Amino acid sequence: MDNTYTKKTKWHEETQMDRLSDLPDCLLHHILSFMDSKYAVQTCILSKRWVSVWTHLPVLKLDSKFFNRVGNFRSFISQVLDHCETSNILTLSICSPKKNLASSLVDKIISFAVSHSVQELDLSLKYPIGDLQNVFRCQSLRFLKLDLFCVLPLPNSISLASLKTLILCKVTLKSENHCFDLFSSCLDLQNLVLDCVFLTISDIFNISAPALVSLTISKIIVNVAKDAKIMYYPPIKDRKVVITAPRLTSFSFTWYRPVSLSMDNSPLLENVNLSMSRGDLLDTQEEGCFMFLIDMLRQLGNARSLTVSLGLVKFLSVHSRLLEEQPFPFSKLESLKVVKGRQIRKKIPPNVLNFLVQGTPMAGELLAKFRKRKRRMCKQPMDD
Amino acid sequence: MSSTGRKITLKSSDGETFEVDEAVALESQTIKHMIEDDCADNGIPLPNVTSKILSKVIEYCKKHVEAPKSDDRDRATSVDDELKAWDADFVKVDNSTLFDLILAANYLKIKSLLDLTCQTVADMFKGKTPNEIRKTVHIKNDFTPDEEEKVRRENQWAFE
Repeated sequence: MDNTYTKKTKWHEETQMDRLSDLPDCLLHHILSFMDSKYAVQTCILSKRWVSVWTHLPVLKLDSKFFNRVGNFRSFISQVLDHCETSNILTLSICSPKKNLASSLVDKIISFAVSHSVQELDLSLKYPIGDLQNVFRCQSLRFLKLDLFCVLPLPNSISLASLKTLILCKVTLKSENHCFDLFSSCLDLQNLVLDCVFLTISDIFNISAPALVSLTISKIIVNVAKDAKIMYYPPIKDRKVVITAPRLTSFSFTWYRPVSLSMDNSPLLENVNLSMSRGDLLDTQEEGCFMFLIDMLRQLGNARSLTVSLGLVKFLSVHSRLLEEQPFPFSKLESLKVVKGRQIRKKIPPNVLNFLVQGTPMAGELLAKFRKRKRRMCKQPMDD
Repeated sequence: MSSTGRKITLKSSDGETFEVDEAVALESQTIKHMIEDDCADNGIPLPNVTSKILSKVIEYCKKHVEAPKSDDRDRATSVDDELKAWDADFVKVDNSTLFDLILAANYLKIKSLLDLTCQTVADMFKGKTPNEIRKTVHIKNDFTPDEEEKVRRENQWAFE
């Protein structure tokens, strides 16, 4: 019986079929879409079947980390774009955060995105120079992520009708318009992320988007330009950010330098996530800082689920005397979490807990939840 | 005992029948459309899927439908990790079964299963030379040495 088995396995191995190459092109493309493009292109060498499979790949992910020399990466980008034989690209992702690309190459990439109806564009570049504004002419875009470390040239209004998700990282946005209103023409925009963004405004920065469901603002710095001069630490009241998002359900905010936030009308707001990053010492010494934070909490009063960072909790507890004088901001809270990074913290100073939880329908349960955890941490036996 | 309503009968290519909860069957967009078009009354024939593969697909769909959608967000991350570990185990199968699962997931239009199985194949390529890849998935090299050299030269820029 053993002999037959070994014979069978050997025969089986020798005549194993190449089931992979038999798959239709669309499935091979799906498999290759999970690989970085460097390795997807290298499949051309596997067999005759594979020579041109990659040229019709609708998902292109180019990452400089797989290339030792920047010159090689630059020519790789150029060649991939030139050899591409499909006119509908689903995803184009180019990651070169440490290696500069020439402006002609940046232009080529953006032209390619426009001419090939790219739906998801993800550019992570270092100080790119080129006609970046053309990105906003790419009407096919549903997903756009720009991580650029530069001043982003902007149209008066971004009008990308199919755009659902927009992520802007490490860019400077400038406008001399009194009403700096970038997003209101993106009628389908559902998710907006502003991460490490410098804003130079003349009056107000408007985040107005009728379909917006999720908004994340992580570390923004608002400077004010007046009379051809830029004020780098304008009074907090002048750092006006107005959010008009009637469909908003999730709001996540990392407090870096304080801003004066105004959230007009977001009746559907459910999840709020607030954290504090160690911002400039200069700013946090300003007295108004605490009051602007309290004001923001009050405007988020509809929240049902609140997650706060340990840093924010500490900041509130330091100003305990002022805290006692404030009306309770939340009226519908059902869930409260304190986090430090990804870890859940189970302790919260009672005066802060009280401030956040009183006035909500589930106050009793929330108070008990934190107290119970505190008790479990004691080594004494439970009394009742 | 199942908690939700209807049961749907699925028939594999080799004549076996499988009864599943409607919610499980609806993980497949193909089956979903058949149900919506009222073609499901006498059971749904799946001539492209053998019983061996169909039972695996059903196992996958059951697990993903039952995965607790925890409202308690404290637990949400560990539930995700558990499911990921289960998925990783699920695809530890021989190549033949894997490719059958890809074809079945494609035919039945179960996106998450298609992504999982295709990602698994893509992972097989990682860190391997072309020769090693050929061995792993049994691709016959039908190039002459000259032809192979020509292709490599033409695409030199990808073989830094």
